[in-house]
Amino acid sequence: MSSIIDLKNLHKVYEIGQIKVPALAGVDLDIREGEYVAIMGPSGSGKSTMMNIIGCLDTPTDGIYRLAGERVDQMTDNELADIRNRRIGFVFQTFNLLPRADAFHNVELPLIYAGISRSQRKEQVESALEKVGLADRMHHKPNELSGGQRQRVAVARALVNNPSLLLADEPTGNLDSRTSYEIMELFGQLYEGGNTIILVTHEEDIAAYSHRVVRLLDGKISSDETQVPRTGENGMFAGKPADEETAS
Amino acid sequence: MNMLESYRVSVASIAGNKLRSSLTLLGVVIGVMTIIATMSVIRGLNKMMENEMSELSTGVFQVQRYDVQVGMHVGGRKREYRPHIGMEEVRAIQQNVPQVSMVAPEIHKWGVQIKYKNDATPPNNTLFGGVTATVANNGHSIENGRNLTEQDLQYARSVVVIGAAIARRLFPYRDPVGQHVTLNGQRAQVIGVLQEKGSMLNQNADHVALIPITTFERWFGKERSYAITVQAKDPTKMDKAIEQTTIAMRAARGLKPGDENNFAIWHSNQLVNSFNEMTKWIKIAAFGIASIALIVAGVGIMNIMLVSVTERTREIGVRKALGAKRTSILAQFLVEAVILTEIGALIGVGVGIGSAYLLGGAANLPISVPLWSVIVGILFSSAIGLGFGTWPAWRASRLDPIEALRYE
Repeated sequence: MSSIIDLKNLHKVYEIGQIKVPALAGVDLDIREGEYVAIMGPSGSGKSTMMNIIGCLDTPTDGIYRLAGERVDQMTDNELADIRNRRIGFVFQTFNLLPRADAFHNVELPLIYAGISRSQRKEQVESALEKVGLADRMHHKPNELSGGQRQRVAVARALVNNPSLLLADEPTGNLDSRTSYEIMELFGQLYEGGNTIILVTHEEDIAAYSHRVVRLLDGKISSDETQVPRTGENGMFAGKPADEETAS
Repeated sequence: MNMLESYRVSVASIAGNKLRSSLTLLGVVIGVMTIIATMSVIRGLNKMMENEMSELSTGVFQVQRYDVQVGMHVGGRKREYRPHIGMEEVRAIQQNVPQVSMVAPEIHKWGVQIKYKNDATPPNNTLFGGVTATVANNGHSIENGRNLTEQDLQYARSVVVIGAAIARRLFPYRDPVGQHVTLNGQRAQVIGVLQEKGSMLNQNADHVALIPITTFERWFGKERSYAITVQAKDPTKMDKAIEQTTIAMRAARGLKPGDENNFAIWHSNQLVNSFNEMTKWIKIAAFGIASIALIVAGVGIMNIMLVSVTERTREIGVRKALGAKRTSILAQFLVEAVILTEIGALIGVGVGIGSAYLLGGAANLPISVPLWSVIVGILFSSAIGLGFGTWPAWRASRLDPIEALRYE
């Protein structure tokens, strides 16, 4: 499996007035294709900064960041926008759907910015919404959907462009526990389907679904462990037929 | 993101804030309406001037004592005394200016009442004392009967050629020719009727009566100054004819080189020109008002766009996270501002044309909307939208995606 995320001695320093605040102080991390990684850490640990940099919303002060083999640490604004569009699918805690647009248009957005033709867009949007089980809610606006359904729309939007990486920032933070498990189950399915997933969370419970947990403390990686993912002490994944497991 | 997408997003956003959008549009509507309505009405007035005020026939100019005064003369100078124009000047032009023919002196009197038996017109007629050529030089022609003749002039006969309106008023059922009418107490025989010239602006054109100039002076005295209408033989060389006439006039009036002309020469174009000169200022004023309205509207648009950008900070963050480039965001908000003003401009065009026709209908003006005013209105407001939309759009495009996504 080739490397999707390759961070080498990554530094990020914020300047607040005269004071320099280091948020990341030399992070090395390698995430391979098809991994399901949880990034954890208390607030102030550099977790958000790292996520912003991995998500190409921000650039590091120093160090090297390769995303799917491409050096992105020195990229310009426009190049980063392009990388975000092609490589990264974001799932946010607050869904961040456009309130006036229906599910279809929300999912369509990344394709519009990618300059994909209308008919091609329709096809991809429909297939993405089908993947998250919302084919019948295509023309509902966000306020006509439940929280879980909204997050599914957001996941469909993140997937629609076939990104290299699904970056989820506290995806269950605004959901009740039942819906949270629903979303985690969806992530599990996506992982099984071959998607690379990075999950930023502070909930051990949620991190337990991943295969690898990276912990940050004071801008540095304090631990990086693989684990056996929780596949359902609640029976969420326990009922999966064995042949499907082997097929994927 | 292509323009079509920006356009769709903008329309959705404008439609999502109907009340706010329409209030913002109001200034643009007023500005564009002002331009179009004013320009249409002025064009109507100009058209009327050109059609109807050309009392004189083509190639005809008029020599008179004082300048024609049209329009506003704020603090106008007191007129200096100028000697009358009389028969010597008429003869001087006839003898010394080969470029002209039909040199026709005329004098007139306003507010003349004409009576026939027990019937009478209102005192709203202009009585001309003239010669045979007076009819043609003033753009009239004889419909019925005959024109003045040399004999009429020579013997100062009491004969009159009446205008169509007078004929209609006094002789609805019979031929006026041969009948006797009374003009301000003086009896005269009708020898001819002028063809109807009627116009919307110059309704007086048919309220005229023409008697021999000699008869006029016999009746009302000789103290009036003549106006002389002159036909240039070649209408395309009117300037030359006017120049020669001026020389002849200066000689006849004993002016030395360096003296100012103590007479004036004008032709129809001049009248139209001086009217245009006057309306030019109305046009400038209307543009001024419209510009102020549009600039105020532009500030309103800028304000509303800034609000819109702030309100949609989150949306901008999301769009950027999904791969929108700065230019896409800039285009989105710029297109929105321009569409907003353009909707206002289109409504303004509609309202402007509507009110121009309403005004025109009320004032009996031939209204036609100048295409350029519509184009100027739309382009001007687009420029305003573009100008005042740039800063908010630029701000939107520069938003930091991380900050924008965090915005509550």
